[in-house]
Amino acid sequence: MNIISIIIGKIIILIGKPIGRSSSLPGMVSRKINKNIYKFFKLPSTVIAVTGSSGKGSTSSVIADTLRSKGYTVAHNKIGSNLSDGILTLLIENANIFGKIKKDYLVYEIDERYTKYVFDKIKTDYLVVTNITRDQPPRQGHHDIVLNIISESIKENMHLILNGEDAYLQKLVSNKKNKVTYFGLDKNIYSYEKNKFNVLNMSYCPICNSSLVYNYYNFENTGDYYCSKCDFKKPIIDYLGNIDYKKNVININNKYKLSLDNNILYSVYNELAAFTTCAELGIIKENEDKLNTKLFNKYNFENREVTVLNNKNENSSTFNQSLLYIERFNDLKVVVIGWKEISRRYDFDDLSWLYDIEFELLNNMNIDSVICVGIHRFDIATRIKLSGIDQNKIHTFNNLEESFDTIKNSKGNIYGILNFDYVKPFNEILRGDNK
Amino acid sequence: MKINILHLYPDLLNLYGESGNIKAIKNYLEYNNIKVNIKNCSIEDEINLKNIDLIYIGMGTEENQNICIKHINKYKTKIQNYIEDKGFVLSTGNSIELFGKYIKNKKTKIQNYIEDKGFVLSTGNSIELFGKYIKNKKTKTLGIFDYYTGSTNLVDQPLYKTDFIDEEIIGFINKRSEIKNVDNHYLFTNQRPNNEDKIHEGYHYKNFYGTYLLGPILVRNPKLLEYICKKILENKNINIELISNLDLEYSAYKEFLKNYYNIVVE
Repeated sequence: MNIISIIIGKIIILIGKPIGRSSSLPGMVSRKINKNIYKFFKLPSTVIAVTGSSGKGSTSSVIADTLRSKGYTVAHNKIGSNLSDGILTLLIENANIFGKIKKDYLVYEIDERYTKYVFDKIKTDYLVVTNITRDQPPRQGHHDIVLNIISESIKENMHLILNGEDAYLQKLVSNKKNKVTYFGLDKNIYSYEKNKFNVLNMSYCPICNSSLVYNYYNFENTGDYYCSKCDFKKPIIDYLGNIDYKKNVININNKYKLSLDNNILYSVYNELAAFTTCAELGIIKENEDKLNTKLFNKYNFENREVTVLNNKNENSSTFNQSLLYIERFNDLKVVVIGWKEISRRYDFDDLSWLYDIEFELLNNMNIDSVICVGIHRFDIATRIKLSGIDQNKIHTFNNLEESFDTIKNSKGNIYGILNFDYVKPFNEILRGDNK
Repeated sequence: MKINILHLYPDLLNLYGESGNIKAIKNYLEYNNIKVNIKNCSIEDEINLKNIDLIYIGMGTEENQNICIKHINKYKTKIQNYIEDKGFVLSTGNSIELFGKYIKNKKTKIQNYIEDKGFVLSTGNSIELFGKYIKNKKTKTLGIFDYYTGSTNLVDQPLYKTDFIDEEIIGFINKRSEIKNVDNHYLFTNQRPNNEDKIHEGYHYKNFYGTYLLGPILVRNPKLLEYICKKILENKNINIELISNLDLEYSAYKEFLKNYYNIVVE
């Protein structure tokens, strides 16, 4: 039965590939045939899982690529099928018909809520949690629910790899005795002392509910924190990164150097998470293995600089990171905000998350205009107006094509703060015209 | 002319864009030359209702809601008097539950096991661990209104009507609990109910307006914003004609009704 279910899974992978149904269907079918299929696999000696609200795909890819560049063989769900059946498909694809996965490492990206099913079935040695933030509430409920699911899924012997600067992630480990390795980013020129984000997931100590105090912040709940009453505070950071923004390099523990493709915080944290995981495996990631992110684009349009930042709708933290990033620059800015749809998953639309984003940061910048595009252009424009931006600077367009003339005639550098479904069409319009 | 707004627990009950309501009121009234003073009040502060014209309270995670219940319960008399004296309250999301009698807690796995007659042998002081599981069935809340809270699971984009506004109310619901045993003091009537008993929604008593619609309902329903602001001013005997600056808000509202419900508003 075991062998048959694997063979059938493999056949479906082969057939499914040309028609694009090979990522989770094979796992589903094999599981239906044989519900004990998981027990049949002989896993690689080291298994690494990466989860989190954002960055799990990039981080797991960097880990897998680094291991491969050192000559190891790796099984990895690169195409991002990160639910139970997708991960099962990954195992079937990499196993021989006797269930043996002849790879040195298994690295899998996993959806936050599916940890509860998969960790029971796949003995996982390392768990990297990139972050837990507000993300798709209609699907997830809210971040506490997600955190509690991950927390209950963690097994005693798992080695955790976490951002130690993120106070909220401490809720994941406060009742556990697991081995934890922390990474973090040291205070740097863009750290700030007065909180910039009015909507935080945690303002009080997770132990005693007294106010949490920050010596400095790097982002939202991330920074150097301690409790005003009890002894809760930022843990000792095992891999501490120092950013040199001029050279685009992170120095880690004054010993290792990592060059960066870009220095948006989410890329930096993903790089640090990947570096830390590899270092704990005894592998030092070299300079040349850059995180190659698709999340960030820079090019020119009629001698103006265009920066495209990729965000996730219903995830205010990704937009907050983009705003914090563009706030670094003193140039005159045209900001384009928009999306095709809020979610591909459901046909109703929540818009409340627009008010969890700190668009008020735009007031610290030199803004020529804010261009709001798409089906929810008036909702976006209302949000921008309520942040305090002069209504005369706010323009609305039904789609990107219609916004083109206004973007072209505006002044300043162009910043696209877009949901991922608008990145490609935006680049086509602005870069295509330039060719 | 000045309006004082008390925003309760803005750092704990801040789950779904609640700050939008405060921004909307402030922007609209300031455009009409009325000063708006926002007072944030949380668990380390005293609740002081002197000169307050509106209390706003929003939705939180279950854990944060519990932290706030412990704090707000100390102020039952003050809040009850405020509501009886026609003070304005706007409550969105699960914060409506704080004003009812109690919240029935979800049973834990252990509780279910014990109640399903599962066997447990507990020796020594481990017996103490079970104390809180058995006792902790209800969380007492303010008890100003007679309803209580039970669990449910609903994510929806409802369309409501209400007596005091001649247009539909739009918004979003994402809740894991709901008030039960609500008398006829409901706030909204559901235009597209899924089943018979879900026709009514929210709670309306004097100037208390409570709804599970989450987050920025005053942004998304400009007529509701105008109505509430007008009422607050009337309550203070300020009689001025408010001028609307809500064109973007209204465009968003109309666009939404057109795209999702095929309703065209002139």
